[in-house]
Amino acid sequence: MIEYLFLPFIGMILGFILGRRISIRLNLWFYLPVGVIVGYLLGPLPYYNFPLSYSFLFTLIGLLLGNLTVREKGSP
Amino acid sequence: MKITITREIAVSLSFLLFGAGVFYSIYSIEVVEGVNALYTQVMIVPNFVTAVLFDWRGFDTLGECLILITSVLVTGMVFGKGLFNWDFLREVYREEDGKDVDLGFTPIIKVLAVPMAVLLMVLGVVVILGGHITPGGGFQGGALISAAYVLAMVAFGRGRCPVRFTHRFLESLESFGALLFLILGLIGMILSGYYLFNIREIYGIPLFPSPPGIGDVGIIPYLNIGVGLKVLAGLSTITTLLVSHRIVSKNIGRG
Repeated sequence: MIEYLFLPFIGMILGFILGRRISIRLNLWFYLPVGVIVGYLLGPLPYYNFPLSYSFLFTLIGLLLGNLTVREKGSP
Repeated sequence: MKITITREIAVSLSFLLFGAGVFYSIYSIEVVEGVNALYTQVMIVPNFVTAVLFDWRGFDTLGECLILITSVLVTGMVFGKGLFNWDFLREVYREEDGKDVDLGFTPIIKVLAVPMAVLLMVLGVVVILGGHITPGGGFQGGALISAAYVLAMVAFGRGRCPVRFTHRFLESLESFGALLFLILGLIGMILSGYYLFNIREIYGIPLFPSPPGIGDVGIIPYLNIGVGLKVLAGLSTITTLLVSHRIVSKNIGRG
C-alpha cells in the first residue's frame, strides 16, 4: 500500500508547506468537494489505479491542514 | 559583513562542488544503464530521444536550474548594483507599500482569484510529483505554483496579497532545492562514480516507493521536487521584485 500512497503523502507535505503561506482562512466545505470533482476530472497518474487523482486530493488536504492550523497572519 | 562573508563562502563552495561535479561527469562521460533500459524494455516511450531524455533527465534538470539561477541574477542586476542587501530586501518583502495601485478589478476577479490560486498551487504540486511518469516535472510545476502567486498578486496588489511568500521562505525553498539537487548528485558520485547517477535503492529499500510496473524510479522525483521548489522561489522572487517597482526605482543608484 505504501507504494501507492507514498507520492500522495509527499504531496500532502508540500501542500502543508504552501497552505501555511495563505493568509486568509480557506473554507473546508467548499474546497473539499471542489477537490474531489477536480481530482475526478483530472484522473489518476499513470500506474496509480485510483478512481480519482489521490495526489491532487491529498495535496489539497495538506494545504487545507496547513492553512487551518498554522497559517501565517503577518504582513508580507 | 559577517553574513556577506558567510554567504560568499557558501556560494563559492556550491559553485566549486557543482563545477567539479559537472566537469568530472563530462570527463568520464559514458552512457550508463539506468531508467533507459527499463523504459525501452517495456516500450512505454515513443522514441529513443525520449528514452535518452529520461535517462539523462538529471542533466536536463541541472541545466534548467542553471538557467533559472542566471535569470534571477540578471533580474537582480538589471534593477541596479547593490540592491540585494538586507535593507533592500527587508523593504521589498516586509514593509507595507501603503499605496497599492487599484486598477479597478471587479469583485468577480477578486472572488475567483483565491480559489483559482489554491487549485493552481495543488495542480503545480501534482505536476511536480508526477514529473517522472507524465509530461511535466519540476520546472512546469514550480511555474504553476508561481503563477498562482502572480494571480493573487495581480488581483489584490502586493500589500493585500493573500499568498504571502516572504523573503525568508523563498530563500529557504531556493536553498533547500539547490542543496537537495547537489547532495543527490554527490551521493550518486560517491556510490557509483557518476554524478547524478540514478540510484534505485539503498540496502534493498527503494528510494521512492512506486506501484508495480513502473519500476524503481530512483532519485528522479526528488530531483523534480528540488527543481520545483527552486523554480517556485526564483519566479516568485522575480515577481516580487517587478511588482515592487517603486521601492526598486527609489533604491536604484543608492548602492
